[in-house]
Amino acid sequence: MLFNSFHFIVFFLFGTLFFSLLNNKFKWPFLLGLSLFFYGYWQWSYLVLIGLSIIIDYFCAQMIVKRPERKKVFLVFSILSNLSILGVFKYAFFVTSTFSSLGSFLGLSFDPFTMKLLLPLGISFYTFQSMSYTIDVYRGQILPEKSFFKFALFISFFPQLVAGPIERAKNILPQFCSANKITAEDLVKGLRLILLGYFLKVGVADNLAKYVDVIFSNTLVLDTFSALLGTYFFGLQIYCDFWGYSSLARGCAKFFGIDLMKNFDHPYRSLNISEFWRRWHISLSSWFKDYVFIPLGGSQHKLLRNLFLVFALSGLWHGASWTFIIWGIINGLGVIVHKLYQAHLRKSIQSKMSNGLYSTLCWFLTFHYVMFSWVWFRSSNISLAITYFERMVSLTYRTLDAYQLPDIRTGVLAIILLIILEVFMIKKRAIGIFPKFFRWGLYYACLFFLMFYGQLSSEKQFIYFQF
Amino acid sequence: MKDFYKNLFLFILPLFILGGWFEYKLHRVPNSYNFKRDQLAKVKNEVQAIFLGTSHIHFGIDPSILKEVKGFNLANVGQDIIVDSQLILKLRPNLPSLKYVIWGLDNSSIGSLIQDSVEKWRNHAYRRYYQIAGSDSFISKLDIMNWSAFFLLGQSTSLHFLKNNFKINPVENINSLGFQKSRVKQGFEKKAEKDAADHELLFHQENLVVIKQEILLTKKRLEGKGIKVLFIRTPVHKSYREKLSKKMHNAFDSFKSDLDFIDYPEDLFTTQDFADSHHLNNQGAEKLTVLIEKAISF
Repeated sequence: MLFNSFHFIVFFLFGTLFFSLLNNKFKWPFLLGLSLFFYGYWQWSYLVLIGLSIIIDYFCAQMIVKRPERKKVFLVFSILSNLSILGVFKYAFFVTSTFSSLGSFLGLSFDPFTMKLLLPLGISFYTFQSMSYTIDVYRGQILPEKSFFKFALFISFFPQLVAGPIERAKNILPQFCSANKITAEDLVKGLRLILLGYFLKVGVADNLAKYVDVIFSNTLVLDTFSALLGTYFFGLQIYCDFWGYSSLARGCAKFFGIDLMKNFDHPYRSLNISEFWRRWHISLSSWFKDYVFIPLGGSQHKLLRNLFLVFALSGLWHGASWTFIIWGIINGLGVIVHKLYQAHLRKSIQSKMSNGLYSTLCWFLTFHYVMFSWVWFRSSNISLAITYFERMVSLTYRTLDAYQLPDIRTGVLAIILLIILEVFMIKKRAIGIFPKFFRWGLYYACLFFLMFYGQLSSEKQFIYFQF
Repeated sequence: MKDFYKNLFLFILPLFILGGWFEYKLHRVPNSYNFKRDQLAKVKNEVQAIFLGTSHIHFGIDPSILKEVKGFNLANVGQDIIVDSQLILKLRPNLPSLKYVIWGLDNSSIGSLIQDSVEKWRNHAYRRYYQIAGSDSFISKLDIMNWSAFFLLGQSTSLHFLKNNFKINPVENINSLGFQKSRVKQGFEKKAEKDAADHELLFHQENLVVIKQEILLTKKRLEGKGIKVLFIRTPVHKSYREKLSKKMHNAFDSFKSDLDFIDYPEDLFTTQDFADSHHLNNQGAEKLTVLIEKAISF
């Protein structure tokens, strides 16, 4: 069930209505049922896998505390189980097909066992969340949750199940245990976040997707202008898609009295690539920091190697394809170069220009670095990504009509509205400080835009749902 | 909380009022489905011949030209053979004088289904205006297009109506017997290759069996009621015909082999008879209608 579908709206309205009518004792079982229904609605077989992950990690966490002398065994079992699930369902085909390609490249007749299984939605998100729980219990940072159903809800809580944020048990579980009085302020904030989410997803991202899809499917015949247009449009599409999802997830969670962590903090305002990664997909960055980067030695031991590894893994986490790994490595190299620059060159360069000019230059470079790296993320394979860059510098020109693109004005209008929104949010962070007539006018304008210019009928999946 | 619910109510109220008004206005805008349904109801006792098919018949047969019989054009854009079949079986009991059903077939329609195309939204119109083409599943009943004209027509069309204060009449070019006059598109030969490629995409070999079975079953049921069922091939421009694959041509030849098929030389139709590469214009429609009347000799 997609957040931007009519079915979800019906599901959410009835879900919240019943939830609010229930006695506290029945709220969490109901929410668990709602979450499992939400996930099973895509495909009932998905529930088997998530159920397996829940059972393993619940059991392992309990055993870590009950049998401290063997806690390492249970931790390893939990991690291996989760990684095996992920490996089989997400990476098996990638690994075997890579070996097959390598074999044929070397001229060897190599026909490995290949299987292409259905990739369950959000598998990367919930396995990482589940693993973090067991690791935190192992480290003694949290106590294991006694109630199996509350733990199951922590893993399957529907607003964040399929595309994050990858929550931590210490943030969410106590909220399930508290009485959770939902205030009017929660509901107002939730509604604002939901409206913002729909505006970004249906109003901006999906409008840009119309052009991006056409441009990237014409990679072989692109001219310079269209290739550049596709690059920037995709950069803005994924920005709004992910921001939209994050807002919707947080907004929906508010209706159940749950505060999800902030997963997105205007990353395109970043002045360097390290800052970008502190603002983009915050929960994933902090997951890799806490569970991979620091155990590898962090910034104290072999910093550059650690950074490289973390970003390559982060790329692989996004998808079982070499394009994602290259995208991760490019970002990792960006962070490494930035660290080296900060250590050796920053002071001398910064002193030669005004702060304003320096910041603008930093922003410009970061923004474009990120934009061009997205080409790897969006391309289906390495060869197409290279061709895309070749077409970008081909200095050729074709009219947009040649690609039969939809009217470009809607895309431009969507971008203008996004820029206005960003500027608005820099100046005044809380909309609540404006007078009521202004706020309501803005909400109505937003709804009007969505109704007439949003991609209501396309019900396009969120980009991060595929991970 | 009380304040919140009060504000929420006040915020939603204008939306409901405006939305309701907008839906009401959109529902009142005539469309080819309810227009044809209503026009047919007016002549239901006299109609002797019904024409079925896609846009090729919708724009290609003008029953007002027929001299010997009273005909009605029930074809529509993207109307697939399954819908044709459901429509005629549903409406037949109310057409006491019906003697002929003339079914338009073309290279694409014999292998394509509306639900596989961008025109699948039209199924909702059949559900709403003719109570056919529906699904009994609970999920399909939840589909907003089943009851919202805004979602059925789409955003740009709805906005277009609003901007013009709902004074547009989308059926002004459809006559009382269901024929729609077409607008000629200049230089359509250049688009013929794309038109053919689009139709090839809609064509699926595996649909042929299902569609043929549906046709034969409907034919049998209609013949059981004393109604003669005839099939015609709608003419296409040579620029389009030449771009169609051999697979499509062969499929059509094989499909029509055991049907009562009215054929005519393709070269009877020249460029001046077409609105685009595969639709007749008004002149072409007149020519085809006369030709069919002669061939059938009602």
